[in-house]
Amino acid sequence: MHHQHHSLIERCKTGNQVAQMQIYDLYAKAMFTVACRYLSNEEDAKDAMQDGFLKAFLNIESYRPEAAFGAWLKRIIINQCLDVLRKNQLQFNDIEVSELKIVDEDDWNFDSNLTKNDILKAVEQLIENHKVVVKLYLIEGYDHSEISEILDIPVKTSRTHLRRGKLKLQELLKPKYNAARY
Amino acid sequence: MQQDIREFFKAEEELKTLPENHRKDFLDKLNAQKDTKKVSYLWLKIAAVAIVALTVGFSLFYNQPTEEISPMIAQVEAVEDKYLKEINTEWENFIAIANDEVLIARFEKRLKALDDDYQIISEQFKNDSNNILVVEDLVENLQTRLQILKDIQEHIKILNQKSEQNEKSI
Repeated sequence: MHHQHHSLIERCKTGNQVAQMQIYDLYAKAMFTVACRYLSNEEDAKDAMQDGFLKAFLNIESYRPEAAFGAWLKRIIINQCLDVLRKNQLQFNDIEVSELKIVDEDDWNFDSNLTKNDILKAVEQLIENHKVVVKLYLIEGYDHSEISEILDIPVKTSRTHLRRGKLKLQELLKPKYNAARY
Repeated sequence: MQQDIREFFKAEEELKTLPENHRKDFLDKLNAQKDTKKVSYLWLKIAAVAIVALTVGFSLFYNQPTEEISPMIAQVEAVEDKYLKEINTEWENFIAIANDEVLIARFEKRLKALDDDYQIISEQFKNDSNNILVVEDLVENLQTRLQILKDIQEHIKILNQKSEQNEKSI
């Protein structure tokens, strides 16, 4: 499997369309799922996913086999989605970077009655830039240095966004927590 | 009870279903990308040919009345100059250590023959200054002269060392 994969990528480098379609078929579903996290409209998500694939094939020379191809591709797809969001005025600059409260960054403990779906719903209610950072961290599993690279923002800004996003999440998820107690 | 919600996202997630015609869609995009690539290459080619044609045209046009020295000739002259200086120095070094009239005469003759050849190739170069083969011949001629002089000096040095050793051993 791995070897076959490698030769597929090599053939993609020569612009072989059959190989490109095979790679597309292998990854399209997973990448579409990723894109849907950032773009709520499925048509937009599909376009961003496909444009990401086109970019990947165009720049396939810069892919290094040391990294997993899927991870490399996912990064491109996410960037493509963020480009779409930026066109819709997503901005990360004018934020005052401050210490709100001393909070444990590593504490993501929420009430155990909450389901994954509750969390996802709450994330969707966050303001746009908090939402993006929370998704990159929580769902994709990127760390702050990776997030700062992807969004082209300082690590400090990424931390602040995440902290605020988390606080807001806790707030959003509280009512349900209280309701469950009644 | 508390739970770390990051755990939710570590597990494999259910994948979304793609819109129906996504493959055909993508194939169209892929083809479109290929076409634009081809077009841009074609444009590059046309542009390159145009630039070369213009340059050649201009230089032909301007060179006729003024007989301006082409960059090729200037370059060859610079190389020639460098080599001739070096050959001259090596020749003097050779004479200084040779002290053998017959040997010097023999090498003078060889260098003279090479120089005659050089004059002939030079004529060719003046008529056809963009012919890279002619230029290579010119440079090779100069290199040969230099090499001959270096070789003979090396030879003389070795001979001298040997005779010194012989003298010592005697």
